[in-house]
Amino acid sequence: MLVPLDIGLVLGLILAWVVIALALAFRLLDFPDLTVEGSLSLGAAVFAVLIKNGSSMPTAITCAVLAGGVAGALTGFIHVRFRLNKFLSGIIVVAIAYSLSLRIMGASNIGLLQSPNIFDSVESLNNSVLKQIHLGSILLLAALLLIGFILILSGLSTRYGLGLRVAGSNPDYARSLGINVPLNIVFGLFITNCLAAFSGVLLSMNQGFTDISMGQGILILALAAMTIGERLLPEKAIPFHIFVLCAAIFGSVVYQVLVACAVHEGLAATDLKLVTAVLVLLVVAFKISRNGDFVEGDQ
Amino acid sequence: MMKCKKSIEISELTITFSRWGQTINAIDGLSINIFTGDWVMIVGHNGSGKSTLLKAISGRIKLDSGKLNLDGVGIEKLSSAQIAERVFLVHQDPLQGTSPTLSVFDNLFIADAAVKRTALSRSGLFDKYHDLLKPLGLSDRLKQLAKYLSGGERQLLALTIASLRPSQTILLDEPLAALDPSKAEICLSLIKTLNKEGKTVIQVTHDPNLAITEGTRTVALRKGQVIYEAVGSKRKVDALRKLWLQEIDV
Repeated sequence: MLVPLDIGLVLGLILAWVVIALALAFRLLDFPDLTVEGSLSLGAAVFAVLIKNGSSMPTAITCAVLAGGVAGALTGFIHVRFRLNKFLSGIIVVAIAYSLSLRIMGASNIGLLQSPNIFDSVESLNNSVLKQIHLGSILLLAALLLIGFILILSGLSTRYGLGLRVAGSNPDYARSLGINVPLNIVFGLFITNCLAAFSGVLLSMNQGFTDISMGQGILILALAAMTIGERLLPEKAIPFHIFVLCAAIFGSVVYQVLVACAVHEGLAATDLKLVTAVLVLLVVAFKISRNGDFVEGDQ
Repeated sequence: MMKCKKSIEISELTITFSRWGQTINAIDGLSINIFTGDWVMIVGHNGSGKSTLLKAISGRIKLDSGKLNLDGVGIEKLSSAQIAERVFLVHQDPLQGTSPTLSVFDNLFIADAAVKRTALSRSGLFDKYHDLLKPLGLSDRLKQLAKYLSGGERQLLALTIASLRPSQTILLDEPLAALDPSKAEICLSLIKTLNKEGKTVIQVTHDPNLAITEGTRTVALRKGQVIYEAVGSKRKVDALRKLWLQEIDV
């Protein structure tokens, strides 16, 4: 039982970053951003190439995160400048990011087992307590997530952060307040895709390699995790932006633990997506049966 | 004395919409001057150009021809932020006048122009907004998300937001249309307070009685043109009703 819990927790905490990215864009900017799929692999690709070529860890991570951010900003720019549909803008950038990642990597896969890794610093803790549990990795990832959580929350609570949230929730009203809506959308997507790229970096380090296909399916996974989190946490108890963040993290962990348990119990890899869909439907059905009705504003 | 200063100057304004090869003159050569401290009631049937006029003044639609000056400056020379410093639009739909996913406090905080100038702490601001919302019965809802307020409560919040904006002119697009009589009365007294505080108010309404009894000036529009204009006690509800019925007959 501990093994799937360990795998679920580690993966859940890593992928929580991309779920947060999607949730912030979706719920606070009202932008269903498909770019996260591309920015995750782009971030991982940039990180892998830089670290492989001798760059320092902070430099490689910073460049990777910024590369993801630029992809997000490009989606925002395409949408606001050419008035292209939000989905189509994302799809275009995902296609660009895929080719770009391949070109940057020069191959479809780069091994990172011999390269510096942040998980090296907690290796002793991983081996010292429970051998089945990577306690060091879990604590490190939780600490990183906590720092990220506090930073994002602080940013969203500032006057600029509030402006960003107004631009997303009611663009016409935002204009009445003199808020530059297009700029806020571009900047907001830059930030959220930085987070998605960071998720890609962590995933590469955890797996010990970067693969061109590691972003594929991430969108569905993130959407499923977001839905699970939002359905299981009480929305009215906390401010909306805190709820969105908490639901993303909680949903990511719960989803990954459940999937890891299902795989551990012998689920065939081919059935994984079917199980994901059933899982989401079960959570949604559970919430509706508990509330007795549909929840207003659900999408 | 205050009324000497022109807040909004509109001359020979034309705005047309083209849909499926058909061109409609929403505003057709309209000229009007609005003075600082005025409370102008604009009446007219659906499609007479009332809302289009408000949208033009708030910079939401482009002008085809004519002039529209805000505080003496052509609107085409002003950025959206500069327009927002001069005019604030409150929509007919209460849901459009606030950010639903922000708390009532945050809605007031982001709109409050005084926050940048004063060094009030968060608790100081909380007290300020609490006092502001107390007469409206919303003081205990500061921490709640705006989306959980009723339509009427959100409209009251939108008008309170208008009072916090730096803009001299408040545009109200049928602000009472979706409200019950008690909420409409509170909203009206809030608008009166805004006007007494020196704000210029331009209010669109469908109610000829309200257009005559409230405000300082009444303007009736038809097909994008001014067909009636009167100030203070010179405004007559019978004359306005006559024009109203004439249009129905047409």
